Amino acid sequence: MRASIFVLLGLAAPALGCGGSATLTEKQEYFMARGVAALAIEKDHLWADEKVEEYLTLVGLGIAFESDRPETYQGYHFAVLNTDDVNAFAAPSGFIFVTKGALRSMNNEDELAGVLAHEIAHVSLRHPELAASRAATDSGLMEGVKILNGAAGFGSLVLGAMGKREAADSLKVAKEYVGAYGKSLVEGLAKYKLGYSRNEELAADQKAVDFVTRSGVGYDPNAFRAFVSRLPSKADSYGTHPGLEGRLEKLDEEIKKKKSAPLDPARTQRFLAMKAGLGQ
Amino acid sequence: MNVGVLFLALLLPQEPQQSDPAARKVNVTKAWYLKGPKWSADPVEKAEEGDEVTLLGTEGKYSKVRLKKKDLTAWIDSTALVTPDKFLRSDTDEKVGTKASAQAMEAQRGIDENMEREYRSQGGAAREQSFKDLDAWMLRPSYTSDRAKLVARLKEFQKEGKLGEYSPVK
Repeated sequence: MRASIFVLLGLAAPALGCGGSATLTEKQEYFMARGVAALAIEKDHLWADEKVEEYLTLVGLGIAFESDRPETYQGYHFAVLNTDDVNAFAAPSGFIFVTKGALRSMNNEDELAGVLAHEIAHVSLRHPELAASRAATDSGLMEGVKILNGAAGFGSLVLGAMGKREAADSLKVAKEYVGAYGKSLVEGLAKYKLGYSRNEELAADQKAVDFVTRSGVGYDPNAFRAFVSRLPSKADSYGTHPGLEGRLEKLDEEIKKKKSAPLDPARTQRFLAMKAGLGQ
Repeated sequence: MNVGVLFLALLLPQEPQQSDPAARKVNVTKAWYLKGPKWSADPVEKAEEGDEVTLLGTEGKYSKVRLKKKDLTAWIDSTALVTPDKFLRSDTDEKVGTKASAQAMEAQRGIDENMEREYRSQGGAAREQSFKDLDAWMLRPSYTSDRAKLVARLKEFQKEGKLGEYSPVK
């Protein structure tokens, strides 16, 4: 089985050349997210099974509502992509995708909860926006532009791009930008060398453990660790993702700090029932 | 005001507007005003994007607010709110009409419904279908737009799985 685990393994990415804070409005972030989500759907198509989507939504919202960012512009949405690749990723604004291959490779609901929590953590920490700004930078849009003020984030990156172009070109630039961003998460990884940095991945792991162990949630974080430990240790098929080195140790450190609920047979049972619906 | 005066007004620097430190605006479309400071509290009514509220206090991640347009005091998740300085700043920038703000306006104008329409039109049938699939997906599961039903379903799900308030670990 081909494993292209963009987010779970992390992507080697150049450091953001500016302050690094994301400054899109919620609405702008939402429209960016729609472009990314549509590209993912165009590439792999949805596994549009309402029961599976409902199950994913209940697990995901139970975590998102207790996370650091429960509200996004149009709320969180969870879907299955119809591919055997083992993958999960978050577009901005709370669009979260898990592949059929990833669901098949999981053993229980707590593993799924850990994976979703990791993606929610990326959204919460606004990592997709930061990856987007790197995409814009690397694709040449921001070449030579070192931002109008040092603390600028994404909005200023776009502003910088506009500074060297005629206003009439703004739509073209915005489209190039979105295109580059979509590619960063879906198909242009090797070309643009984009994605989340290793530190962003580790931060999302840390947050995931935090989210699933909050008193309003209550999953076993060891399940997430177990899932991560089964991931291939080498870089993914795009050749841009770092391996697992150090990741499990960091997870162990975080898990030790938390009270862990045990696996519950009722949760595992309903997970397996959902999984059976995916077929072979 | 004639055009000349208006033009001058656009060029002159303006004093930053003083904002009420307790003023907030709702900046998402799916948030709800709730009876208490937790997601599972009974919903009072749906918050509208752009609602102006006054912050009365906070508890955890929740803000107690008074809605300006009607007599309503309720709780809302703090991440649904934004301080008005962003809105005031963009309003001022638009009026001042500096080169930088014009660029920002142009840049930001690109990331919206119009940009999406253009983007869709250039992607052929496959891209158009993917956006249609996206929209259909966002309407599922249907109960997520009904806060009371969603909360009831989620609590039932958590009870069955011994999660949240039903977890044996406190």
